[in-house]
Amino acid sequence: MRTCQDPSINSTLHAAMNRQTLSNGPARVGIGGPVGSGKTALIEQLIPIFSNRGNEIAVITNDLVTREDAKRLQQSGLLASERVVAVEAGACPHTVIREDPTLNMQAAELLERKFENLEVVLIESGGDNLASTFSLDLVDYWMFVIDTSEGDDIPRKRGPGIVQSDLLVINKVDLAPYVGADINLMVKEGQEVRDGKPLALTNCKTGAGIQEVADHIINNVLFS
Amino acid sequence: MIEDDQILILLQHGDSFFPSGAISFSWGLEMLKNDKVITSISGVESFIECQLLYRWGSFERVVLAHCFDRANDFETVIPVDNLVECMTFSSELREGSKRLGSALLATYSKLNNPVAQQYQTLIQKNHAYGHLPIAQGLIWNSIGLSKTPVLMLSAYNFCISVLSAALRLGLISHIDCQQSLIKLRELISEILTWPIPDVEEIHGFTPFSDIASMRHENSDTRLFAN
Ligand SMILES: Nc1nc2c(ncn2[C@@H]2O[C@H](COP(=O)(O)OP(=O)(O)OP(=O)(O)O)[C@@H](O)[C@H]2O)c(=O)[nH]1
Ligand SMILES: [Mg+2]
Repeated sequence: MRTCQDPSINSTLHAAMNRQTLSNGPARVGIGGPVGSGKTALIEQLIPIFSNRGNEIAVITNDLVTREDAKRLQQSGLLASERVVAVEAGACPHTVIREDPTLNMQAAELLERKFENLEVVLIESGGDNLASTFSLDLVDYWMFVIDTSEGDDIPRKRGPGIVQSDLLVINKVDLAPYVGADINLMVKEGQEVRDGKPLALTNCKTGAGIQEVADHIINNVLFS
Repeated sequence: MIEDDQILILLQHGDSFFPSGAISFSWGLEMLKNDKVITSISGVESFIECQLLYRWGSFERVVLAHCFDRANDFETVIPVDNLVECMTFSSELREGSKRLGSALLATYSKLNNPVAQQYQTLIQKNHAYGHLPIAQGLIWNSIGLSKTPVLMLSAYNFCISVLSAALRLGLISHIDCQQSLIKLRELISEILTWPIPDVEEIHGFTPFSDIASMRHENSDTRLFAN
């Protein structure tokens, strides 16, 4: 069995390890967070890191009304367009990643059968509010992306996404000075409400902090 | 009469808490709304009534009843599955039926139901399609339901799936939905008194939803998968 080096091992990880040992399929990583916080931008930054490591990747998007994100990734040239699949959420972005993730699981399984050597499936939730969380039947690991321009009080508002995610990503650090957001406060209060679970600061425009996010994924669910 | 021990099973499967995947489908309603063909509660109700009378009653109900009666005989079930594939013209309606059928089988596979696991293997090997009424017949038979409740469950689940889509599309309110369900219950009961014909006689005539779902294939505005 593959082993884990990350000190922040938690129950989610145990669940993930069990699932990995059982299914031996690709790691499924959920990316949730409010509308426009930078989920797709983070995926665009992560893909080259995994590609450069030789990890085969695919993406599932849960666009709300259009296929905007799926098309953006398909046209990005970062990965083959058949590796991006859109799943409609019926205006219920929460439900399709938590109470009823069956169609997202179906899409992941189809990708897994189509691409035998797939190692990572990134699942982008439709932009939502702070309450969304992922079912651990759907993903092995999930992160929640917020950004500084939403207000530096967001972490202490303790939304389930902020509190329960395996990794909290605070994106758009470049915008903090323009909106008067105190990043140090966001980090401090984020750590307080998250019980020691990790948190990362990113700028998806420049790529700053992205390697750290990738390392969390690698150490927690890829293992090699 | 429905036996007591079936009622809890029915409640479990007629509840939107059951992970059926149905939330992502509108069965043509989204496009009919976007095209302003359906704009009100009366439009939604007649849409569902037509679906029950001219598709569910004459098609899904018959397929489901046959599959339920022959649930232990995959060799008889598979040709019926093929027939559903051939006779569902609009691709999004066809895909919707297969995706929901597969979703039901996948959920029961994970619950270690052997029938679900065996039929899922056939689908993965391209020996079967796994359309919704086929999956419902196989699974609901295997968990001990009897036929009339199974037919009711299928009709009821279809109605709540379209009504909840209508609610999310802003066509009706939550009270309207309950009002409609009360009316639709009568229609479902009436359809359930119809005899079950031979499976070769399945037919449907729902041009509005067929055309709408074909138009939906190329629509960029899509909350729903059909
Ligand atoms: N300045 C700055 N802009 C960013 C950053 N990350 C993303 N953006 C911009 O923020 C906007 C939203 O980014 P997306 O990646 O589309 O956000 P999203 O979370 O996927 O949005 P939805 O899927 O609609 O919820 C885009 O205009 C991005 O270019 C960042 O770190 N800094
Ligand atoms: Mg996005």
